[in-house]
Amino acid sequence: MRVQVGDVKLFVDFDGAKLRPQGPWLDERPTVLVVHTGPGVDHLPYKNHLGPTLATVAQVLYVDLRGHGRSDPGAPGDWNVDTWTADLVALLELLDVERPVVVGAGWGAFTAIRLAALHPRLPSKLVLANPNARFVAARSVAAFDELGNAEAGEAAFNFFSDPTDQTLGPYLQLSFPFVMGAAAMDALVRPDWNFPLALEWSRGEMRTIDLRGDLGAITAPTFVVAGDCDPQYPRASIEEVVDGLNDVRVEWFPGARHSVWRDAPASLGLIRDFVAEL
Amino acid sequence: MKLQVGDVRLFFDVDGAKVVPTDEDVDERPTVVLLHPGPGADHSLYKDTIGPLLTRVAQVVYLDQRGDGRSDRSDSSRWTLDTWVEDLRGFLEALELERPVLLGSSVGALVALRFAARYPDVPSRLVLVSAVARQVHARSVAAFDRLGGPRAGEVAARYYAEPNDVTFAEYLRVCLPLYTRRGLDAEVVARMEMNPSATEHWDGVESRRVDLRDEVGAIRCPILLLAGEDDPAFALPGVEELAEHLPQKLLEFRRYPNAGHGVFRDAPEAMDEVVAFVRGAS
Repeated sequence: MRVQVGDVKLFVDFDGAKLRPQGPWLDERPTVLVVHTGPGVDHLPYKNHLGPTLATVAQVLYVDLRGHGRSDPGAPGDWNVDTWTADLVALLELLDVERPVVVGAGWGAFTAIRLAALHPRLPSKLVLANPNARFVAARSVAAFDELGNAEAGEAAFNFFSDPTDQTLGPYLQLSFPFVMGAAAMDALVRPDWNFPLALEWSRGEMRTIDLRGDLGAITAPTFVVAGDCDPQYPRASIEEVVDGLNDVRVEWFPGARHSVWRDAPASLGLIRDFVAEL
Repeated sequence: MKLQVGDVRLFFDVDGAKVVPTDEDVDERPTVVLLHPGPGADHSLYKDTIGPLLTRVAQVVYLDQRGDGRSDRSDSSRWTLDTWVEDLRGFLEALELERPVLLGSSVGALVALRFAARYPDVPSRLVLVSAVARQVHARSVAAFDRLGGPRAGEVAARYYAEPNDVTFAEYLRVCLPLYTRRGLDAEVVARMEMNPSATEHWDGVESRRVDLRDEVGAIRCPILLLAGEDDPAFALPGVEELAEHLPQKLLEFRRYPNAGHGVFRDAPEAMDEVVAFVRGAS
């Protein structure tokens, strides 16, 4: 399905019904909005693990953010966290989805955090996987050095210093495998990756975004699942998010990289239980 | 979820993904829009029958029609087949649901039929369960007579002659249990948000204006028509009449002996037939 939200059509997909027969009643399940990682990739990888797990207890609502996957590209000037946030708020309003659980994974956590801070009463709960409030290049380069190797650190340094077609290639080849691992990369990196958007965002908002001031405004109970081996979203920056949140529980998964649920499937059951509990 | 379509907000639910990742690529599945019987009933009737089975091969969209279930009631002047058809069109357009399979039971099937006749390029397939081109009350009364005895026939005749809260209450008590051969499951009835006024309006007013015999020849997609031979509400002669008017080359007609208006409940094997038919749409 695609629905008109402002000047773009957004692709949405689902897993699991909202109302389910239970004896003489229709039992109403929560809706879980999944905000995908990125920039430039779509919602599809979540259908391999997180989505089906959550569908046992909730209705899962997947969306491709503006500029991603099957949604309209929109204008490059609108490829920013504030627009993605406004799109999601409008989408939920349009579909009359009330008080969803919002899941923000990796890069998607920027938008999930902004949404929960601007509209504290909108999400009933928040789930964040390897969230960062800002991008600290020096931390990430150091993490690529430490968790990867010198080549990975250098390619990351070159890309972060000057994101171009020329530096993106070596970054994907040498650095990115330490973010995802080969199998996960296959799921994530598809021909329809929006490289121009990834470059545009890396050149622009990535350098300026700082949501540390947003965290205190969030009131939704928050569950952070964290991998300590994601060089793109390093441990110190995840801790920064956890420290800034009011009502937070964090679960660290030693050895897990960017896709926490892939590297640590035990995280899936914990998220499911967090979504299901009243 | 609810979606604004024209002057009403329509409730819908979705189960199953449209786009499914595979090892190599992605699979795009058909979307099936389920149009519930009624009027006055709601989408929940599909939630424990065909809906869950279809999610194996398709994305399933449950829709409560205007006046029914969790959708806006609107008012009785808008409880017409034309309005439901145009609501469906607006709904499909708003969600960019292209070439859906439309599955309708009873009056939901009449919505699907008129929609497919009016917009023949839109549906990819039609599944019609317990469908007729027009309601001939004498046929229904005769069938109630046969299945439930003379009292059932009399109660049905009284209701059809003058649908109101009194005759409808009697009809629900005496005739509704005859809709399925297996007997009515009280929990299934309890799960519905019923609107008796919508049912009475259909039987008293709108159904008398509806005759699809001359329009259904315009349908251009494959059709699966399922009928229970012991359906008292939309009795078999009416289904056969509809079948004669449908494009013969596009039609698969299956009759289930010892099955009533609720074909899926009385003849669960009919659901396998539907799943196979929908799978063919992808």
